[in-house]
Amino acid sequence: MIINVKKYQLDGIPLSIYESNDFHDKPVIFSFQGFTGYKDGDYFKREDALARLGFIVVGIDSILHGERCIELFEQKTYAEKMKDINQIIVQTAEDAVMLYEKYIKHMDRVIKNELYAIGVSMGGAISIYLSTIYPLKKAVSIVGSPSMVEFYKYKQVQYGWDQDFYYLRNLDYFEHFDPVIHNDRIQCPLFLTAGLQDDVIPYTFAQMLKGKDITIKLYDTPHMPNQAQFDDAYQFLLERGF
Amino acid sequence: MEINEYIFDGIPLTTYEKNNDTKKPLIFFFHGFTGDKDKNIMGRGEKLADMGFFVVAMDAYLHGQRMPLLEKQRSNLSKYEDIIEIAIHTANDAKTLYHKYFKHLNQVDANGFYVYGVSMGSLSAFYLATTEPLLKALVALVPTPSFVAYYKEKAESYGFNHGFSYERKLAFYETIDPLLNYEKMQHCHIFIGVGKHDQVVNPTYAIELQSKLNHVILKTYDTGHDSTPEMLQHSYAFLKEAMNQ
Repeated sequence: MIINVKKYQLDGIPLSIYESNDFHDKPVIFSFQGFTGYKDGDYFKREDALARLGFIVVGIDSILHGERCIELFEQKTYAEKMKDINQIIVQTAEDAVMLYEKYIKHMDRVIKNELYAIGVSMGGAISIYLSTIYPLKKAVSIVGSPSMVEFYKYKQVQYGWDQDFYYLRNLDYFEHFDPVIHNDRIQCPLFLTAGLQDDVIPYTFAQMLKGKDITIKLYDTPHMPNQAQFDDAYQFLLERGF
Repeated sequence: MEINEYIFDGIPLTTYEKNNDTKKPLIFFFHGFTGDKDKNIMGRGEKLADMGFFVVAMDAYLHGQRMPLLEKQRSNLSKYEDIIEIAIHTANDAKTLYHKYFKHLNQVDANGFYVYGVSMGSLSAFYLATTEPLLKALVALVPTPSFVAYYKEKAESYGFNHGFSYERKLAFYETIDPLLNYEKMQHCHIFIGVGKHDQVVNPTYAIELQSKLNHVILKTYDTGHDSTPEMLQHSYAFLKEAMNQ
């Protein structure tokens, strides 16, 4: 099997699209990376794996990440950058919807209106948030947090941020977007993994998400996931009529 | 005069305001293509602050300090193919910034805001007028309110790539074009200054908007794609009146 990878820059947003070299129509899956990561850097090669499983995989650099990074943001410390994590999550999800509706669903061999999402860590949060603003078929979060507000409070304590105007405005603003608070907006089955030893995104955050079609599975790992999480995620994506 | 620099949501901002306790209406300044918030404001930040505004000048999306390396490597022609997306993204950024941060400042009026847009900045201004009911008034200098017709004109004159993404862009622009959706701007007071010799942005689209929306004030000046002192004075007079309404 040959996997073709095409690089695009659509509306200034860099994408890598992975597809197996056959002529079958395929559904699209967005693949979102973690905080400070980039679209072609997955240690577990999930884009390749998903392309082999029959998806058209769209890797997208989150705003301020990868080829969308800017010097102004790069100069900040990790802790300072983290203050914008919820904004990055929301903006990247909105970018994905726009790109899908405007371009991707009109591309050759794309099965329209059958969109999936998968992400790791911050990418998992993007997948979960995306399920609240777009009718995905399924979404996967590997070691991501579905919570915006409580997660932000956790990071405030972890990094010792001042509870200043910026912090308080972000906390208030993202109440309106938080999938845990607005779980009624989730439009598809979700699969979430979490690590029992994870101190970056403790497993309790995954467990905050309630809903009738939500599966949460815990693994004996730190924040770095293991292959089993991806294998279980792929099985979830493929089962029930893919 | 207080001038401050901020980075909110990864967006570099310069604010200008008179150092007093008065609550002030906020005005966004949107610069032109290939410009930035500091190079292109040319004294207007201080002037508008003197008039009583809380001025927010921002780098447009993919411009100024928001330009990633990938973008720096593109030619201006290639970048121009995304000018409408840049304008839309910038408008959406401004809307978010107002609602998320600025309207919660003690010195900012939370009941609405204003926009001052030049050239590409006017695209953001007009688009924002169709999506934000709290936009009270806008100034658009050497502007275009058109997405579709303007883009087609530029595609011809600049030789854009035609093909999949071009067709997809036009289909998308049709749904949100401010000139085609002019009724959505009924709530917004609009001042337009055009240069009768403007060969960069054809005044015809602004003139068409005025024919459709009779509350639009349009003035023509003996200039090209530039503002003149008279155009600026008229824009300030318009804003002063709009503030008092």
